[in-house]
Amino acid sequence: MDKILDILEEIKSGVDFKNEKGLIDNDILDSFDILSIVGELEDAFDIEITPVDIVPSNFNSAESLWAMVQRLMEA
Amino acid sequence: MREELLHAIADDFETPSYIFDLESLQERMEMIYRVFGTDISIYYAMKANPFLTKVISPVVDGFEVCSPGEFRICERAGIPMERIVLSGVNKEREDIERILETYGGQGVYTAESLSQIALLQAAAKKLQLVIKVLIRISSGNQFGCDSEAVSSVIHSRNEYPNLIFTGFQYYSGTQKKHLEKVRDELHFLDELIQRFYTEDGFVTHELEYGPGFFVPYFEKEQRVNDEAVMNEFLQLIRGLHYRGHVTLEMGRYIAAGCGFYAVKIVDAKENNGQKYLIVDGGINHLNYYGQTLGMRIPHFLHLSEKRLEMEDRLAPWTVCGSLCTTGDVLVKNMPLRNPQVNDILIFENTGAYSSTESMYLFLSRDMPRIYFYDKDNGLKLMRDTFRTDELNFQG
Amino acid sequence: MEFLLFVLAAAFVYYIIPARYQWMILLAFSYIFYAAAGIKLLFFLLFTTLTTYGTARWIDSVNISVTDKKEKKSSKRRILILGLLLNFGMLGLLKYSNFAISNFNSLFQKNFALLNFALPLGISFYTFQSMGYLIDVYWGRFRAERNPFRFALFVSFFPQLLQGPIGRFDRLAHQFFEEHSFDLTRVEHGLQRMMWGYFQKLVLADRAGVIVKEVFGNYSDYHGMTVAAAVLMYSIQLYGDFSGGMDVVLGVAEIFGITLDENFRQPYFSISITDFWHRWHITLGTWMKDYIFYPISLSHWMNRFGKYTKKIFGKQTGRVIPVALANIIVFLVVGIWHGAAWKYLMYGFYNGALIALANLLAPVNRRAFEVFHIDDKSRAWHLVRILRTFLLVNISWYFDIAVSLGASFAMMRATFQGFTFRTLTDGSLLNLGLAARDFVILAFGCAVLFAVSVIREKGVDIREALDRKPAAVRWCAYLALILSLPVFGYIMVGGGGFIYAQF
Repeated sequence: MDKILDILEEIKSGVDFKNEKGLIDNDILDSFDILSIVGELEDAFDIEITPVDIVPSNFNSAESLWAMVQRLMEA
Repeated sequence: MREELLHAIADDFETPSYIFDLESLQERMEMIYRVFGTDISIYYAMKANPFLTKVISPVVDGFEVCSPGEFRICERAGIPMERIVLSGVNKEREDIERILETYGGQGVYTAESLSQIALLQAAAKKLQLVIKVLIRISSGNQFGCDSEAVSSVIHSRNEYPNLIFTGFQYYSGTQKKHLEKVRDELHFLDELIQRFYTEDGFVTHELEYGPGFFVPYFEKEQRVNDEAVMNEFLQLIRGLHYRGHVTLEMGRYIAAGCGFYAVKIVDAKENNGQKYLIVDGGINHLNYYGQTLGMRIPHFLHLSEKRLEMEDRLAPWTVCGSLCTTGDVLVKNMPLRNPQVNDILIFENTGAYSSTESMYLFLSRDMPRIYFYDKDNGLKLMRDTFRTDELNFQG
Repeated sequence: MEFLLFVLAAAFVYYIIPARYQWMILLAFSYIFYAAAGIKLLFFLLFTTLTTYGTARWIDSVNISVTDKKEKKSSKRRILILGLLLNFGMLGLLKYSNFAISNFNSLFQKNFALLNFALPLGISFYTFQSMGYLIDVYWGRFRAERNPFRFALFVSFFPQLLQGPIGRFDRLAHQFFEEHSFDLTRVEHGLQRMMWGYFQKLVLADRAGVIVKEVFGNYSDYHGMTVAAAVLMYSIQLYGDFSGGMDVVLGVAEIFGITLDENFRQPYFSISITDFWHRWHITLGTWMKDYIFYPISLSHWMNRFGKYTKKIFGKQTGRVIPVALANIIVFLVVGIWHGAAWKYLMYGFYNGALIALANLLAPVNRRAFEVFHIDDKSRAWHLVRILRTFLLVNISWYFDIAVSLGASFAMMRATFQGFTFRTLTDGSLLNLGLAARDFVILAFGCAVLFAVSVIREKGVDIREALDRKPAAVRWCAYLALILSLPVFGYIMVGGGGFIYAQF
C-alpha cells in the first residue's frame, strides 16, 4: 500500500492520496496520469493491467488501486 | 451474492422482482450458530420474510408465528406444531380452538394480556388439553403485560390448571444500534425472573428474547462486525443470573442480507438540472426501515451492459418508481455512473420486510416476481407476477 | 428496392416462427445477403468466422488447462497473435498488397505485376469487429462463444455487414439470442429511421455528390471558390451518405429488435478534432481507442518513452508526449483503414497531428485564455470552436476525395487562385451538373437536417416526441418524408450505392 502511495505522489504532488476517495470522480487524476500510474504499477508489481481494469472504481482511491493490484497479483 | 454473479444471471430474471439468495442465507445461519452454538435456540420470526419458511426450516429451531395467515403458511410448509411459538396480539377464540383441536397441546402459545391468558385457559379447558404458555412482558407499548400484571398472573398461576407457564417472551424493537439497551433489558428481565423465584417460587424455564440486532441498510452507516456483536451479546446472556434456556427470535437479522430487489431503468431525463431515473418498480414494492423520503442511500448495485469508461463520472440521480405520485422516490441523489435505459438497479439487503411491508395495492400495479437463487439450481421463479387490480375492483 | 423487399421478407419470417429460432433466421438471411454479392466471397467471411471462433475457444481452453502463470500468458499471447495475423493479414493482402507492390515498384524501379483481388464486401468492418472480439477474449472481458453458429451471426449480421457500425460482442450477443416479440412501435421507429436515412442519401448526398464528382474528377479545370464549394458539397455528401446509411442500417436492425451502436452524433457541431472523432464514425473511434490507443499507451516501450520525455521536458509536458505520439499512430491507422493510398495516410496524419498538437498546446491555451480574457464557456467561443473545427474538417476532405495525394495539394493551391465570392453569384456553379432548382432543394434539405440536428443535440428523441403528437401530425411528417424521396430524390445515373459499402 505504501508503494502505491509513493507512485501516486511521484506522479502528482499535493494530493492527499491516503484519504482521497474520488481521484477520478473529482477530476484529480486526468487520463495522462492514469496511463503513467498503470505503467508504474506494472513495473513495480510485475502485473499486467489490461484496459478491462481501467475503470473508475479501480482508480478512485489508493485503496481501490491496491485492491486491484492484489487481485492481479493473485490471478 | 457478488456483482459478477448477478451480472451473469441478469438475463434470467425479469424485473421488478425480488431475488432471495439461499446460499447467503445458509452462510448467515451458519455464522449465527457458530457463535451461539446449540445451547441457545434460534426461532425465525417469519414475519420478516414468510417466503423463506420452508427453505429456512432445516437451519432454524423453530418459528415465531403471529397471525392465522402465517400459521397457514407453516401448515403448508410442513412445519410441525412443536416447532411453533404462536404469538399475536389479537388471538381469536375460533382460531385458537381450531389449532388446539388439530394439534393438541403441542407448540408454545404466548399471552399478551390477562384476557389472552383467560382465553387460552378457556380454550385449553374446553378441549381438555394442557398447553405451554409464555407470558409476553411489555416493553412499554401495546404489546405484552406490564410487570405488575405478570406478577399477578405468576402469583395466581394455579388458577390456570390447563396452562403451564414455561417462561417469558420479550421484544422491544428492531435495529438496535448499541447493545446498552439490550443490556438494560436483559438486566430488567433477569431481575423480574429473580423476583418471581424469590417471591412466588416460580421457576422460569424459558426466556424467549428478540434482540433486534442492527442491520446496516445505508451506505453512510458504520459497518457492523456481526460476529463481534453476537459474541458480546452472548457474554451478556452468560452474565445473567438466569440459567434456564434461552431462545432468540430473529427475523430481520437473519433474512435481510439475502434479499435483492431488482428493477430496470425505463426512462432517464434531466428536469431543471436535476437528473431523474424512472424504474419499473417503486415504493409500492420496496421499503427500508429508516428510509425517509428517499434521502438515505441504500447499498445497491448497478448492472449495465455499457462498458465503464473513465469518463463515466459519478453523478447524483433521483430514482423514482412507476407510481403516479410525487412520493414515489426510492432514492434521492443516488450516485451512479452513466445509467442508461434498460440498465438494472439492484437494491441490497431487502430480504426482510421489504417484500411484504409496502403498499402493494396502490394504483393497482402488478406484484413483483420472487426468485430463489442457489448454486445448484440457479435462479428459480417462486412467485410469478400477478395483478392487483382484481383485488381493487370486483366485477 | 430489392433491399427493402429482402428486409421485409426477413422480418416476416422472423416474427412468424417461434422466437427461439429467430437468431437462426437472422443468420440464414445474413448469409443469403452476402452470397448475393458473390458466392466465392463467402469464403472470406467463413475464413474470418472460423479462425476467430477457433482461436477464441483455444484461448479459453488455455485459461482452463494451463496452470503456470507465465506459460499461460505466453500461450495466450501466441494464439492471439496467430488470430490477428491470419485475419489482419488477409485484410492486408486483399486491400493493401497492391499499394505495397506499386510503391516497391516505384522505389526500386521494378515492375512487379499487381494482384487482382476483388475486395470482399465489408471486409474492413467485419474483420475489425471480429478482432475486437478476439482481443476481448484474450483480456478476459468475457468467455468465448461456444456455439459456432451463434458466433457466425455476430460476424455476419447483415445490416451492419457493409458499413458498420463496428459492434461489440458483449453488447450484441445477448440481443441476438433474446426472444423478440413483435412490437409495432419499435417497428414503426425502425421504418421512420430508415426513411430518414434514405432522405439524407437520396435528396442530399446523391445530389451534392454530382458537384463533388465533377470538380474532383476534373480538378485541373477548376479553381478558387468553385473548389471550395465542392469541398463543402462533399461535407454534405459524405454526411448524408454515411450518416444516412447508418440511419437505414440502425433502422433495419431496430425492426428486428436489435439495437446497434450509434455511429454519428451531430459531428459538424464538434468543438475540436478530438470531439469530431467522438461524433463521426464513433464506433471506429472507440474501436481504435480500446484496441489500439490504450494498448499502445500502456505498453512497456511507451511507458519507458514516457519516462524519458518526462526527464527531458519535465513532468507537465513530458507526460503528454507519449499520448500525442499514440494519437498520431492511431490516426495513421485510421487513415490507412480508409484506403490503400498515400492520401489516406496523409488524411490520418493530418487528423492525428492536429489532435497531438491540441494535447501539447493545452496548457498554452489555458494561459492564453487568461491573458486575453477569453471566457471559454461562453456561447460565442463555443460557436468559434465549431466553425474552426468545421474548417479544419473540410480541409481534411481534400485528402479524402482527391484522386491522389498530389491532386489534393494541387487542389489546395488551386483554391487560393482566383478566389472570389462572385463565383457564388455569377452562375458558374450552375455549370457543374446541378440546376438552380437543385441548389434550392439542397438548401431546403440542409435546413431540415440542421433543425433535426439541433433538436437531437439538445437530447430530445424525435421519434418519441412524434409518438406523443396526434396521429395526424405524425402521418403528415411521414408522408412528407416518403413523398420527398421520389419527388426530390436525385436519381443518379449508374446506381449510386452507399460510399462506405466498398470498405
